Amino acid sequence: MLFSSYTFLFQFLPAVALAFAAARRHSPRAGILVLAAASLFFYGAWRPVYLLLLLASIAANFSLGLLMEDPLRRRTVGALGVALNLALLCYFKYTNFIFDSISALTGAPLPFVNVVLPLGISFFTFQQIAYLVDVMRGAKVERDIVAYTLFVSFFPHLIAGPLVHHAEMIPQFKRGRTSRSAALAARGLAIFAAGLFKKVVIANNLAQFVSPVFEHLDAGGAATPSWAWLSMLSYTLQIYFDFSGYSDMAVGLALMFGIRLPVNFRSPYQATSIIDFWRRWHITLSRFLRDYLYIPLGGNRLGEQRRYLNLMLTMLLGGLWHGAGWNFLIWGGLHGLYLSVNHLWQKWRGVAAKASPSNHLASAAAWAVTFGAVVIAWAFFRAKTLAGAWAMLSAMFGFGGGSSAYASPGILRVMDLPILVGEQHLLVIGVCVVVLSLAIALSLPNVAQLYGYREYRRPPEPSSWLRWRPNFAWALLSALAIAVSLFGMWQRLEFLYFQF
Amino acid sequence: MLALTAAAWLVALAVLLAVANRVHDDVPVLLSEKLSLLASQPELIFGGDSRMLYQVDPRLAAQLIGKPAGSSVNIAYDAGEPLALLAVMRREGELFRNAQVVVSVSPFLFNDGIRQAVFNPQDVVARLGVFEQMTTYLPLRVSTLIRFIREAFSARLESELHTARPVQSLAAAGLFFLDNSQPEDRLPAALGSHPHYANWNIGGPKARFEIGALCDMVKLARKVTVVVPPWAPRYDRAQDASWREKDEQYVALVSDAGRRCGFDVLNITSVPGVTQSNYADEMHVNTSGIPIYTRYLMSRLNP
Repeated sequence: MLFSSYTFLFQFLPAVALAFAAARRHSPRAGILVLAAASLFFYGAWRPVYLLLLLASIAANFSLGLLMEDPLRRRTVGALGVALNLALLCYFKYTNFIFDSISALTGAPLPFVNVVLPLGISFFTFQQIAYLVDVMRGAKVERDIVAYTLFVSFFPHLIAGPLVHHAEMIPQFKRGRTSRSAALAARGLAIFAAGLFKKVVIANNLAQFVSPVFEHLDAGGAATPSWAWLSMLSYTLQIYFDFSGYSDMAVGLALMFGIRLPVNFRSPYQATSIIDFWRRWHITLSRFLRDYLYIPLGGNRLGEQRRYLNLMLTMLLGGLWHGAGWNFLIWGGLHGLYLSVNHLWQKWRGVAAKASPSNHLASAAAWAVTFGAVVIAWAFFRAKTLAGAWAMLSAMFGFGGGSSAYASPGILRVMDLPILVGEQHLLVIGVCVVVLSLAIALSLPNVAQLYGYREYRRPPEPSSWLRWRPNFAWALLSALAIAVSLFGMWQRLEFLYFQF
Repeated sequence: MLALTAAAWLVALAVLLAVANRVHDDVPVLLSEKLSLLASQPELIFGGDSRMLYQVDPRLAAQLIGKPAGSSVNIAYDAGEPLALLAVMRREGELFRNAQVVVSVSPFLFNDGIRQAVFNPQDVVARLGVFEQMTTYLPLRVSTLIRFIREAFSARLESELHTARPVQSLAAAGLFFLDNSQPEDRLPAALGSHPHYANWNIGGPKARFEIGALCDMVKLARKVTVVVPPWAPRYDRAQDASWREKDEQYVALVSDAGRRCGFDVLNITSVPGVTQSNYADEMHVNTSGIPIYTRYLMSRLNP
């Protein structure tokens, strides 16, 4: 059940909202029970058999947590729990990748295992690994199975994040009184509307400039530089609007139920360095990788060389988390390299340079280098094959070669409604769409700033030049966003991050 | 905000419908894809809905009249309507002038009471104004309007592309097959309550426009025969008064028009030799029933 589906919007969500409101009248605990039941139903609606997997994962980790109350067994049980979670993730996500890689290296024929990747397994496994590690480190063991179940399975974040932390979720479920109010629900609905628009209207319409070109390149074809650049920039923006749109929807939905999720994106394409980019892009994953991988590996405490090694390892594993394939590994490796270079650059320039007054030209150059580096890395992330990624990069820089150059049928799809415009016009329209989308990404405040969102136990986002207010004009804007999005929902494009 | 969303959505829908009405082409994609079959300049053209698409083998029909393959083709398509066929006949006048056109019709084409997207003749929707479209189909049948908008754009694109894409059926001169038979418990218990006859009303625009199209075909072809195909033999008209009454009304509607406009009407209530095992569902024969049905139809047509 996608957030951008009629079933979700017109059946599931109203039913849950009404049941939650009725239960809350009884007690906060009843409201939490309703949300937990609804979340499990939400997951089971996709493929009921995998609900058993989710329930087994929750039950096993919850029980392991209880066993870890004994200080003598804490480390052993915790380590076993982490290993079990990783084994589960490995089986469902990496079996065929490992078999393929062994086959390629040794020539031994290994079977293809027909495994369907359970939705959101990377998310709910990582969240529970974080819980076990924190308990190993001395955090309080959770004894309330309902609160724990909801922490793992809360439907707004279950499928594609944000990756939530138990310490920021479970206390919210246990408050005797939630901060629900009409204003909060209105803010949640407005954030949801913005996310829906970003996903359905912007990201989905950009997809038409991406998929056919990459499919052609993955199949061994070539592309002209103009199509290659259009496709690559479109993908750069598509993945941002798709994933951040989904995260916004998740934040908005949770807020409708009085729950505050962490912010996942803070205008990443405005970043002027790769370090800055990773503080703005998929923030909750970066936080997880920092706290549960980079720092345990030693972080920057074991000398410069180890720091760069740790950075590289963290980003390589971060790449693999996104998908089982060499392309993801290269994408992670590239970002590891970028980060290392960025840290070296900062060290070389010294602290004094950082304190120097800002120079617009230098900032623009820094932005351009950062954005360009990110775009290049996305080629590996999007292409299905290594050859496809190389073909894309070659085409962008004028070294294109291949069996045949991509030829578009010249059909523009506006909310999936086809209009024949011809290839040249399609290119021009594509460029205009990319420029407009980039302008939105670069000049408008992000959703957290725009809606004055406040994370759990954090101050509100800093004020921006444009700020949401609970008034008629903003209500009309949100209404228009939803109304237009409803017409785009007839196309069934899944969220890009569902596959991770 | 929800009320505002509803208002904004209605305005946007009205705008989209107005655009769809302008871009709409009477020939839908499913029919466009089969038009390359007409290149063989057939003498016998089967058109209409699924009860022609899945039931009549044009190659066998050609054999039966002693003509070469290609002299008979099947350009029927799912939920096909006379208005669409008429549009093709007007567009490709030369190809139809010397041909006999055999069109199947079904009750859903004339019944204004059914509004589901899957049964709704798109060309009739296009002939209603935006206001009438919205008042007819909202709020419960919004999917019908959405289908109309999508198909309007797709049909326009198809007509602009002028591509005759190869489809699986072209090798079989336009015949599609239904290989499986539905299990007993999936078949409707009685036809009187079948969706084709739901909220029975044949006094509205659907009957007016589709009958008008059948009449207009007469002067564009050598001969036009309208076929009212049978339902599966498990259904007994004598036992189902509701079905019998509605069915007789629509057959009378078509027959009257035939007399008035000059086309033949072939009302087939049963086919000798066809049993329930030859049926895929309540209204289409399966692969085993195709030759029997085709032979019977040809014997009645006398082309």
